[in-house]
Amino acid sequence: MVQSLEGHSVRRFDGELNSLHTQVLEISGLAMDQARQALRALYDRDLDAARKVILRERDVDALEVKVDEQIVAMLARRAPLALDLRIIISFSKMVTHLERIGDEAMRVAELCLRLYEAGSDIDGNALLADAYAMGRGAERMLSHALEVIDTLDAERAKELLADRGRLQVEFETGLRRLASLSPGDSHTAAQGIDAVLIMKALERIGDHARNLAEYVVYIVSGTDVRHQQNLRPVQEPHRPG
Amino acid sequence: MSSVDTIEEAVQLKRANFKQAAGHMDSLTRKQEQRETEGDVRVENPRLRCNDVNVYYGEKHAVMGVNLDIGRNEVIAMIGPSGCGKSTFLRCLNRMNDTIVGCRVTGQIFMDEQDINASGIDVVPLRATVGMVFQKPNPFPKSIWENVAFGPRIHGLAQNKAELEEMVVTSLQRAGLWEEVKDRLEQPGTGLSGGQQQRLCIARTIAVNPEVILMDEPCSALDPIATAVIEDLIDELRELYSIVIVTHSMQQAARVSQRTAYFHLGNLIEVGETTQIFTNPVHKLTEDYITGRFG
Amino acid sequence: MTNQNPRQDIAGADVMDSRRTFEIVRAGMKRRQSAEKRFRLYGLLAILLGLTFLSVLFVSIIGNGYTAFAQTYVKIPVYFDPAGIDPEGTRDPDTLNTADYSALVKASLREMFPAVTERGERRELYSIISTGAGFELRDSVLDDPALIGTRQDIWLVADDEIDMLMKGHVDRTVPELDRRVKDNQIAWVDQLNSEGRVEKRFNTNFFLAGDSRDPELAGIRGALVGSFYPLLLTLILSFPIGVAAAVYLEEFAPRNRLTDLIEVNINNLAAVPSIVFGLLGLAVFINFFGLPRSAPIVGAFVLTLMTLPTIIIASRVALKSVPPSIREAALGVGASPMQAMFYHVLPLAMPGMLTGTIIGMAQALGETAPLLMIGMVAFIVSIPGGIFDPATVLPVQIFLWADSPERGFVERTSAAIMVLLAFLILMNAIAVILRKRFERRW
Repeated sequence: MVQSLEGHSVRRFDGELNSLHTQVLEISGLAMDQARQALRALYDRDLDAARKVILRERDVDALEVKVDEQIVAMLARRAPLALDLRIIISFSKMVTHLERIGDEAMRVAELCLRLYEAGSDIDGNALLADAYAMGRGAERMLSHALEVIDTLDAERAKELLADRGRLQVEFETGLRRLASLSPGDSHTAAQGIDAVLIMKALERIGDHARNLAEYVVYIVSGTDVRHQQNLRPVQEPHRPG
Repeated sequence: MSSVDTIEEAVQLKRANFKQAAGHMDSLTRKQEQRETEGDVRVENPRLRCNDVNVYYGEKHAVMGVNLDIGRNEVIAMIGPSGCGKSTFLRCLNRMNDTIVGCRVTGQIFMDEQDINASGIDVVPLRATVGMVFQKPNPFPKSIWENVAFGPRIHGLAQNKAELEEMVVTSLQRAGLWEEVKDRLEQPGTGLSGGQQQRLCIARTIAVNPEVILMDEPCSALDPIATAVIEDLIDELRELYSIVIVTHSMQQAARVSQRTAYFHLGNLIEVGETTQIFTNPVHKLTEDYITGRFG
Repeated sequence: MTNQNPRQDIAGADVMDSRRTFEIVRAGMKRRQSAEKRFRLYGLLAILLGLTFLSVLFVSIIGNGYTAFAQTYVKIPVYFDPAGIDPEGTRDPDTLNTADYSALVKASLREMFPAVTERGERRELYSIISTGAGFELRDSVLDDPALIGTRQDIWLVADDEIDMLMKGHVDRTVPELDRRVKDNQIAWVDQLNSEGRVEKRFNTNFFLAGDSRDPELAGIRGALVGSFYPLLLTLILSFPIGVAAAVYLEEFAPRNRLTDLIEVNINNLAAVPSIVFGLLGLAVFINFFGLPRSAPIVGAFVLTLMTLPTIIIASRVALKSVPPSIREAALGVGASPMQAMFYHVLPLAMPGMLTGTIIGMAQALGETAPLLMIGMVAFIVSIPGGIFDPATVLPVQIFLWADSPERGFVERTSAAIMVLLAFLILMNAIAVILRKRFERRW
């Protein structure tokens, strides 16, 4: 239980917020597991794991819908303000990102299926070395994000945000390396594209993980840290509308 | 989830509330101390500037060293738990506290470089300049016309009958009541609905053409529709007047005001842009209050 | 929600679980209902008792008093003998005024009953007609001197004893010595009656005459006028003073020991026995200021002192009942305290103030004791013409008549009480109507 969710005069609201948090954690866990399974399919050519990921995507979607419904109900009933408002709005957005993470995991799983079913003889080391590396990076970021969601710890969230762009760099290096491999050597052009798409999906997972951390920072400090690479740091607090 | 499903839950809730209330009492009896205000209390070219305003009811220090500017053409909302001094502070602004026995006000409140608390200041012109709308609609038990004409008449604002008539009509129009009452100006103001009565009180206040309007929980006795009409009216009146509104409804404060001030145990804890106060207050007490974590 | 059974936390939860509230309440319902019925019955009994006493009072007063509104008249042929009235024929009013008219009555009676010759019997015969008959004849002669020398059948007021006889208040079976109406008189009256010369008429005298030693001539006009002057003066004095005092104390006076003291004293004054005010009036107004005794003006001063606390208290209550929001509203648009007072608070409080004043006035109307002290208890025949003339008031008149031995005053006492009650009821009704009419709801 996180301190910032509690202490309302209306005890039931504490319960509702906690239950919401728990469900966000549940989706997080599910998304995390989806990503892990997809990566297992990628590393170990585990086609069963990939199929399982595709099957479970529906559960993630269902959970997202359920949480969103609850959020709408809470907005209508509690008219939350300040911290509560930030928590609920952020949870809503986080759920969207988590669902996207699930989407990306499914995409990785689908690509793995296609890749490994078509040609079981591909040279993984040559073609997918960068994807493996990025997968490890994405997994690390994702678990970091999950921890942050669990504890709503802004300091840990900022650590995650600090390691900005690592995946992007790896993605670009990967692209360049793939381009340097001539098609036909070890893979077809289609396999090359699949590998790129996998890397892209992993990069997106990393982005989503960072977004999750951004929302945690917003919950705790009330400052919007999104898109700060594009904007000058804003002194004034975030003001919607 | 929303309703109380079982008796056990009800009992638990009740006990929790009881504990809460006890905690609340504790916090009230705790020794009070003056605190610094978070946020920017000053604005450019203020209509009213309050410096270190203190109010004492006998021994009780009800308002502690409040510094606050009331800007021009702004609605500033005062929020805070009961007994936090927000209404008391509001009543300092037109010296309505003078009418309370044992109430003492110190500090300066400047209006156009003139301290309204200075000795020798007559409250009559002050109250004509700083009008007030009360919690319970309190029209005089006289006709609608008489209600609105009273202010201009006692201050001698109208030169003749025609001018007075124009003032009454304009005030009723500005208060958004004209269309509803134009055919029954001779009927008693107490015969109107609650929301109409409150708008009549607003019309009565603006009939003397004030510069500031103080509103002490103007909608607490009204239903949501009448409340919405008044809130809409407040928004329109902002173009002509500065409005200070005390409210217990945080949603109302968020809807009608540009700036919000949070009072706690006689202290002005935080002042800021309304959107900032309601999305990201700086002070822990403000946050706790507006998220319902008080006690 | 970790606790499996949260109800266990509460002390006494087992007790609460064991029985249903509904059962317990139903078991006790019979007792409750009968207690409630009993209580209602007691209240009803109390009211019935009150009503009984009230109706006994009314029945006895009206039963005793209604006959006073009729008066027995006897028709007698009177010869206005010029020799007796105006021997010189000058028709000089002074002469007419001083003539002996009762002799005319006596002469007529002698003529009607020539058999009566003995002195004692004649005196009895003369006393059939009231001693006031002579004045009646004088007044008609003064009105119309042409009557002199004529013979007229004139209705004259019968003596009170004959009046009582005709109204059936005299028991003919009682031995002659024990009654004031003698057998002779009864016989004469019966004879006159059989001749149609005796009649009961509406007693205008009662409303038009002043006090008299003779019940048949006594009226309440003097007392009514005597009550009217002090009451009017009391109203003129006490209403403005009372309202002003109430307004000042309630709205403007600072709250300190002095005003607290004043407040306590006003409340105490309202409870001071009224005779004390009479003593005060005697000492201050008559002995110190040298105002005349028995005068309405002194009565008015005393009654003013007596009603002031009532009016002040009622007015303060009326002012208090005006909601503070009205004052705030007026002050909020910049009215000065006085403007708020006169434009808004006072008009709203006025019905209450008037009610209090009328009740105070009714109280003053019924007051006797303080007026006894300042001499308004004197026997005054003339109708007072102003506030300095000696006068008596209605309740004192009742007191005086109730003290008189004549049988005729018994019914007059009751009749005067009826008049007084009528005025009191009228005044209270006005108070009620005012309150109903102007009562406002906020």
